[in-house]
Formats: sequence, structure tokens, C-alpha cells
Amino acid sequence: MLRVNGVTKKYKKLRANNSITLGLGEGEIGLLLGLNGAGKSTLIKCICGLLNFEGSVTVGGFDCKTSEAKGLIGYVPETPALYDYLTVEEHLSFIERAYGCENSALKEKLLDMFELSDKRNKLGKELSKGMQQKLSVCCALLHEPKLVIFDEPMVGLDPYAIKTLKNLFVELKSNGVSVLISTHMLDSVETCWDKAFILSKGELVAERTHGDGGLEEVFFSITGESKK
Amino acid sequence: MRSLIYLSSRKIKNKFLELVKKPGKLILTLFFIALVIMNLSVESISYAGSRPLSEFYAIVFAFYILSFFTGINKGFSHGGAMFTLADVSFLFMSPVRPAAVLLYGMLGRLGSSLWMGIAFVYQFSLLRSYYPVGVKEMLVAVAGYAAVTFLSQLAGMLVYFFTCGNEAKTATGKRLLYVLIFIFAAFFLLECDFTSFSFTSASYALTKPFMQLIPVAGWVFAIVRGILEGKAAVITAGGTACLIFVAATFVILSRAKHGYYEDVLVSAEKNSELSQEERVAGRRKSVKNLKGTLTSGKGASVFFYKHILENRRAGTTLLSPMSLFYVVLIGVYGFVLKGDVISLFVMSCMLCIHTVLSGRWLRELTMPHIYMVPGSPTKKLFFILPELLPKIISESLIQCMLIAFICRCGVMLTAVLTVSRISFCFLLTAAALFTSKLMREREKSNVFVMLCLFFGMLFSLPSILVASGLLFYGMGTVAAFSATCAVNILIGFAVLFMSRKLLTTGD
Repeated sequence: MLRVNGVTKKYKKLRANNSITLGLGEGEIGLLLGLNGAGKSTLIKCICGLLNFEGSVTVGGFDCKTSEAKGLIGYVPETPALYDYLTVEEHLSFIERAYGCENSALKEKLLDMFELSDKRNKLGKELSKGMQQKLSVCCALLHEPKLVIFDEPMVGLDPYAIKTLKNLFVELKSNGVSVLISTHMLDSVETCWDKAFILSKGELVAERTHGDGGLEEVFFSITGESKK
Repeated sequence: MRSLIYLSSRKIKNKFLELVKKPGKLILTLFFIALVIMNLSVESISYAGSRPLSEFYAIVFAFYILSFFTGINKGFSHGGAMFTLADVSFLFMSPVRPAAVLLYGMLGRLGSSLWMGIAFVYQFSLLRSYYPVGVKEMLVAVAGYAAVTFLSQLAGMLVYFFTCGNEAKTATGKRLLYVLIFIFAAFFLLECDFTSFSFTSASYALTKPFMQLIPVAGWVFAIVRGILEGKAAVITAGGTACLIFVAATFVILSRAKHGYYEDVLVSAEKNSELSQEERVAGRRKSVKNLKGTLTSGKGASVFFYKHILENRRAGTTLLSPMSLFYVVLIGVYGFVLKGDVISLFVMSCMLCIHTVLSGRWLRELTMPHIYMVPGSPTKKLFFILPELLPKIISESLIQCMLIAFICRCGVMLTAVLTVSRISFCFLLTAAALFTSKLMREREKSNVFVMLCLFFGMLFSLPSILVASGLLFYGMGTVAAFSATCAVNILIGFAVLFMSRKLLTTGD
């Protein structure tokens, strides 16, 4: 579903990503791990087609900057950025129009799942940060994407919402949807990952699969070495 | 496109609905509308001034030029604010065509530019008292200002597009800009008649046809002047230049090989960071001077030393760029429009609202530490305010000396004017504190500023009445201004006493 080939992203002299190659199959959950400043968010923005870079990224066989690829991606940014003057329901209606999909049942399901049903008439700016994050997730999932990218999705969420999100990862996986998660909360995703991509100083230093050991153990052994 | 129309219409609808939900905003909006109507209705009840119309054109053109160069300058640092982070998250990620998204961004800027133009209308009554202008002239000038603001933002985005992330290109771009400024400044100076220099002669030089070649500002000014003087050829020339510029910008941004999303994303992120940090902790700047540290202060007094350190790190000078601009404004008003002592002094006092509200003390109220630090709330209040004092004193000294120079006041009156202005600043600070006590949100919202001004004027009434009484009984200007100091300080302390518990809780 996702193929990243030799992606290099330079900011002036800094190489935020250096020749990164990775792949994610249908129904796989990939983790993007690394210390602060390792280049995770930059790579995600490259995959989403928001940045210019060297190399190539394809989603479902389409170049990531094409409309076809964009229709396949759902993206939950690190900081929820909503429209101040759009209500919860209007955000979702906007997504329906922008992606040309109408699915009232899924809309209601997502609103219920993230406890936003009673807040459907609240403006974006009236929501708490956690609620904004929940709405951001709903917006990313409403058009039934084939690849969902989460950038630090747990930050600001309450324990119930984190549990809902973990269940959601599993549900997406079982529906054949690929999921790429960038997170520092390793214990939250310990049970559900298939592949882990560990970045350090802009480079992909290791790729591990679930059978290779516990996530914390893998992460600390590799990032500890790279820190040295 | 359907989704973008939906997005725009819902945003507008919800902004109107918010007015109904929030009476404060509704009152403020109605107040602004009433001000516009009052200003425009001046035409039917007042006589127009008789100064040369070329001066009016020059003032309008000067604002256009300022707006254009500000827009270009923004382009070298962070582009414009054509898109928000929400646009990045929703629009850039969606399959909506990038050209349609760009059009949406451009139209959004056009809308906000029109709002900015309305600020011009508030000057109508003042301008009409000097120049033979009516509502038609004013509205055309306002529309022109909105157009310049919009086109300047596009120019800024274009500059950002070509130079972002490349220091060499940025340096070349800046050099080109300086050459452009030099050419037009040189032409203006050559055209000025220095043997009998006056504002009128300078205004003729500024509005010569060659000056209308200044990109964007000159073209729009040509259209405005063409409309007011009925010259179709000038309107066509200016209009064509503007249309070509808009079309070229649209094509360059949307057809560029690598797309415009990355440039706009970085620009949107920078704008978002700037607006957040401006709200919380002041404008973001690269800090060069890290010398010195927090070595003094204990308990409440630590806030004072913290502010001093923060101001030094932020490179805050005694006179901010805005204060210097106000000095120029007072100078222009005094020299050109021949304002008298009292009108210049009132203008100077009103302008000090900016200094009072840009102090660190107001931002401190939005942070939890000030409430958490153990100690008397009055003492904490006492230590967060003195940071303003050096700024207020230096600003008052310079502005009052300028007023004294323009109006040929004696030493005594100059000294009294300075102290009186400081007392008005103190009163306005007390008014701002009082407003903070009433309003839960202490951000610098429009409602907050309006309330500060309202309470400032309310608290000033006693001193103004006393001064007017003294002037009425022929006690002289020095006595009148001295009386304002005494009354202001008395009332200021009374208000501070009423607000002494402000820092007990953060409610």
C-alpha cells in the first residue's frame, strides 16, 4: 500500500530525511519511532505530499502528490488544526464534500465512538484540545482511507479515548487498512504493531517486525546505540 | 469547488451566529458600524476644508506605498497568511485541485483586506475638516487601500515563493527591493521644491505620474485617482497592470513544477507560531544576547527582574518602533495640520494605550506562575507594573518635547506636559488592570482594548473637568495640566486599591 523509496528531504544544509526506504502492506500497522528531531514528522509530511523531496513515495501505486493518492490517505496531524468557525458536524460535512463521499452511518458511528455526538453543534474553537484531537481522527477516517497516518495521536487524549484509538487500530487492520503511527508512547501500541521503523538523525537505522522482541527493548537498544 | 464554497459559506454563517451568542462581540460590532456611519454622515453636517486636494492624494498614496512595502518585507521572512494550519490539514490533504485551493486562499485574503480598509473610514471626519473630500472620495480611497493590501500580500507570497530557504536569493531579492526604493525616493527628492518646501509641494512631487510606476501601490493609486478625476485611460492602465499581476501570480504559484504546498505549509506554520507566541509570550525573535541571568529578586520581586531580563533578551528598547511611529505621527499632525497643544497632547495620551497593553505585565496575568507564587497579591501586582515605567517616561519625554517644540511652549509647560502624560499613562494602566478584573479572558482582544479605552476615558473625566474649570477661571495652562497630574494619580491609586486582590486567583 505504501512504498517510500530513497526519500531525502533537505532544509538548507540539514538533511531532515536521508535516503529513507520503507514499505507497508495492506492491513499492516507500522510504527515510526525515534527521538525528538529524528525526522519522523518530516517523513510523514513527505508521505502526505505536503513537502517537496528527492526520491519517490507511492500510495496504492499512485504518486503521493496525485489526487488519486490523496483520496486513499487519512492524516491525523500532531497538533489538531481545525477551522475555528466550523462546527463538529460541519467539519465532517466538509470532508464528505471534499472527498466526494457520503456515509451518514459511518459519520454517526465515529461521532459516537469518540463521544462527539452531543457536541456536534460546537464550533472548532469551542472544543478542548482532546476533543479537537478526537474530531481530527474522525475527519481522517470519514472518507474510508486505505492508509491512515497518525502523528502522535495519543497526546492530549483521555484514557478512554486512548483505549478507543487502540481498538480502532486493530479494527482498521482487520479491514485491510494500513496504518502508520508516529508515537513516543510505546506501551500504547505494544500489542498491535507489525513493523517498526526506527529513525535517528534523519536516517532509517533499523526496521523490525513484531517477532523480533518487545517494542521498548528494540527501541532502546537501537536508539541507545545511535545516541552513543 | 463545491466543498470550498461550503467551507466559506459555513464560516461566514457561523461568524454571524457567534455575534448573536456573544453579546460583547455584538455590541463591539455595532459600535464599529455606528462609528463608520457617524464618520460618513459628517459629510452632510460639516463644511469641507480647503487645503489642496493633492495633499489628500499624497496621504492616501503614502499609505498605499507603506502597505506594499510591508507586504513585500513579510515575504522575505514568512510569506503572507494566505492559509491557516487548518487549511493545510484539510485542504492540502484532500483531492481538491491545488489551483482551486489557491483561488480560495486568495479570495479569503481579499475579504480580510476589505475589513482592514474600513479603518481608513474612521479618519474621514478628520480628513474632511482639512480637505474638500466627500463620501465618494473616501470610499474609493478605502477600496483602493483594500486592493493594495490584497495585492501586497500576493506580492509577499510571490517573494516568499522565490526566496524561501535560500539565503542568496533572499539577499538578491532584498537588494532589488532597495534599488527600487532608491529609484523612487531619488525621483521624489529631485521633484521636491526645496526653495519653498512645504507639505503641498512635497505632495505634488509624490503624486507625479512617474511615482505611479511603483508596483501595486502606484498602479492602484492610478486607478483611484483616475476614478476620482474621471480619466478612463489612467484607470485602464492601472487596472490592466493589476490584472496582469494577479493572473501572473496565480499561474506562477499553481503551475510551478514543484507545486506551492510546501512554501505555503512553512508559511502557515510560521504564521501560526507567530500568532500563538505573540499571544502568549511576545513576538518570536532569534535571541542573540544570552548574557546575564536571573540573579536578583526574591518572592514577588522576582517578576520585576524576570521582565528586565526578558526585555533584554527580546531586544526591547525604551522606544518601540510603534512609539517612534507615533512620534512621527504627532510631528506630521503638528507641523502639517497645525494642531494646537491640547489636541496634540490628547492625541499623544490616546496613543499610549499601545505601550500600556504591550507591556509584559498583561501577558503575565495569562500565565499560572503569577498566581502560584506564594505571597501577597498586592505585592505581586506592585512588582509586575514597574517594567512599564522606563518606556512610559522616555516616550512621554520625547513626545512632549516635540509638542513643546511645535507649539513653542516654555520649559515649565513642557515639564508639566510630560508629567501629566505620565499620569495619564498610569491611569490607563489602572484602567487596563480594572478591565482585567472584569474580563476573564485577558488576551488583547478588541473587546478588551475597547473596554480599556472606555474605562481610561471614564477615569480621566474628573481630571479633565478640573483642568477645564481651571482654564475657565483663567488659571493658565500650567496650572490646568498640573491639576490633571494630581487628580490622575489619586484616581489611579484608588483603582489600583480596588484591583489589589486581582492576583489572588486566576479566575
